[in-house]
Amino acid sequence: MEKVMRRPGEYVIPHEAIPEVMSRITVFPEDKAVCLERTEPMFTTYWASAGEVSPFFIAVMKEKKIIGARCPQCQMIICPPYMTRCIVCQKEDFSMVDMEVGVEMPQVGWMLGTPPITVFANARFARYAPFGRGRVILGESQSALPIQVFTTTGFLKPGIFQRGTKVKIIFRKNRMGFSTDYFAVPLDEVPEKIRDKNGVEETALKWKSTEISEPQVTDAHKKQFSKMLQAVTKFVSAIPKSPRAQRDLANWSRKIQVKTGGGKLGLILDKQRIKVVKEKVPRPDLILGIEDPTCLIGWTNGDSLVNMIRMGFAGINNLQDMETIFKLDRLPRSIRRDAEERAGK
Amino acid sequence: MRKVPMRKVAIVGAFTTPCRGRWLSKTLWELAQWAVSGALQDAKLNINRVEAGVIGLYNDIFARQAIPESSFLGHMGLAFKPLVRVTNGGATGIYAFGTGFDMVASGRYDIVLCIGAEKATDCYDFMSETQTPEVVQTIAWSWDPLFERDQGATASDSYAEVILSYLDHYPNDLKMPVRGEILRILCEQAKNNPNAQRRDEIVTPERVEHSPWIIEPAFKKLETCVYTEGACCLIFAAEGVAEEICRDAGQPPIWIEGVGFANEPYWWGIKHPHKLPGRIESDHLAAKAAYEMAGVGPKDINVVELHDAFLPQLEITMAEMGFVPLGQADDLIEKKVMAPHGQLLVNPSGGLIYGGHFVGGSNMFSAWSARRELIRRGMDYALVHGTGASSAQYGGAAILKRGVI
Repeated sequence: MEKVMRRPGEYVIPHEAIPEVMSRITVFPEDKAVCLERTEPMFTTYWASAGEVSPFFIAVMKEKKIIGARCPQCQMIICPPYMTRCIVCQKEDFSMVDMEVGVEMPQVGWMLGTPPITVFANARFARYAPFGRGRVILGESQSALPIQVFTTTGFLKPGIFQRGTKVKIIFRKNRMGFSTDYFAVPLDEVPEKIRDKNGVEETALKWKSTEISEPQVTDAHKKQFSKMLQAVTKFVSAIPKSPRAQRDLANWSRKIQVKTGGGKLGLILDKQRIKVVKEKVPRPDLILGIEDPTCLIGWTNGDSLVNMIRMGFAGINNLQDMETIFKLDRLPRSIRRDAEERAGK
Repeated sequence: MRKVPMRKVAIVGAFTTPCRGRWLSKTLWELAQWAVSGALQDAKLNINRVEAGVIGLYNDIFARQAIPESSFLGHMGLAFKPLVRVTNGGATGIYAFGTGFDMVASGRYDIVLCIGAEKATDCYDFMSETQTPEVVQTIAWSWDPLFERDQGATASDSYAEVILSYLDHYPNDLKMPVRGEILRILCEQAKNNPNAQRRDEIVTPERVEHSPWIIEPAFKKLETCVYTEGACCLIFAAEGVAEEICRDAGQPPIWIEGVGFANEPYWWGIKHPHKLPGRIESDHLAAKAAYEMAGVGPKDINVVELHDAFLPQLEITMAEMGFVPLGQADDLIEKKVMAPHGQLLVNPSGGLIYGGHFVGGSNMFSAWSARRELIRRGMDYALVHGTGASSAQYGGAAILKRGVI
């Protein structure tokens, strides 16, 4: 038996995702009902067998190969080899025809469709957002291989991958038998000399890191800065009147240094409030860079910071902390909805 | 050959709870029992006359219990009677509806309860200190565990793939101003639904335009369905019994004239037997089968209650069901097909985006609304639709017709 461990101390359920045993008594705001809540688990852990598709994962792990299966009767090829019998062809005794597993597939293919880029991920993957996931057709396969897609050029933006984009399969250096052991990059981002080579590892590519540049200070931006500061201050002062906005910020604290082309400010998220501070924030948890201060006025009116980051008008120094940006993005709508409700009453 | 049921089936009673993002003060059992109680009251029916039940429960994780249907039977007043649980992804509601229909149409039972219930937002992600990522995570467990799940697939991006591949084929369709206008209409319509979750919201095309991307460039935040806790119960009765119940209750029977279902394969590819990009063939085949059984077509339909998980998918589904051509789904607004610009009433409940989406019973909630509109407005035909599972694989449709008492 050969056992591979990613990193000692890395668990299938992250430690920070596991709550302590707790209970609380909560008053439901809509009908004032007093309710008891408890933290509860519902989990199962597995030594999950890959069964008949084990050869696919072992070929990835040991040989950096992608294999498919072929029906000897109709010649249909499928990759991944998700079944071992052809569902189109039957033998004389009406049983399904057995497919030949172990057909080696080429490692250059094309995207079946434009892959989605996930900005708001599920709990296990929030720290990796934004990321792409699509389907690639390799060789003569009739089925598409589900695959993560990456660009070597930094932030994954729409347009890099489209239907028909030629891609190269790249292998992780450490492979453990998961579908994340391999991924796709656009073929034109792969150096020409290794485009035809099979079994290319991630370390053979040059990866550009996502950096945020220092915003350029201009007189025009400086003029807008005080207006923006006023708008942001007014905006955050509405949070204590908005139960929805307070819920958005519950149990979340961050010191954010905002750098704009007109000057700096800090946003201190704590105790379901945001405090605006002028200039430098000592030891910030997150840096948000925005060239044009009026973008932040836009945010107070409902423009999305996520969209600004995506469009390149803003950047953060830690993409793993997109959750904070999601929370900031929720605030304008929450404040507006509470204000509309108050006005309605 | 046109398939016809062995006997006619009608909806004779219905009730839905208010839709809420969280019912902190109600458990799943209480929500379901509330719905059953309301439906019995609506039909003025003694529970002892009910012979069997079917319950749509989406998944065990939301329910916090394996085999959760076991503890429902007594609450539903169905002790010592058969209760079937149906779970079919997002289409659980419409499949439970179909199962209930079959139980009566086959002649096995005269009166059947069809219940759908959901409680999703007890799920909580202790890393982000919010519910949504954990709810999304729970749905993400439905992805293939070997080849896909570890890649970060979400409920949203399966539909996003469908939408993006449709746009690959029809890049000039699903335009944002059209989507914004449909959303404005749905939001407005939700105000007329006393049980809608987002009744107090004001949505404009401009607000849609500015809302953040959930999956780029498929759809934005204001285009996505909500997570809802709630329950709905429909009462099905056979011809001969239905008329008598409806006379006593003073409401017309709503006949289920046709039902149709189709599921696409899980794996995508370039030709059949794989799921094809750019299509939701399950919706097309399900609607076709329902139309054929009912002997009607899209032109006969007055009200559509459609499973709009995401707004662009609503447009694609409307095309797949024959209301507009594929590739020209924007005709819904541009050619004035959809009310109030046109005649066809689409999602008067506000749909799943503004009305609510309690997965196990959303499609029953849609049927509840379709019945309500047929009776209130004196219309003839409604179509109820459900979709679900990763990549919108599962499709179901039912054609309802207003009867007389």
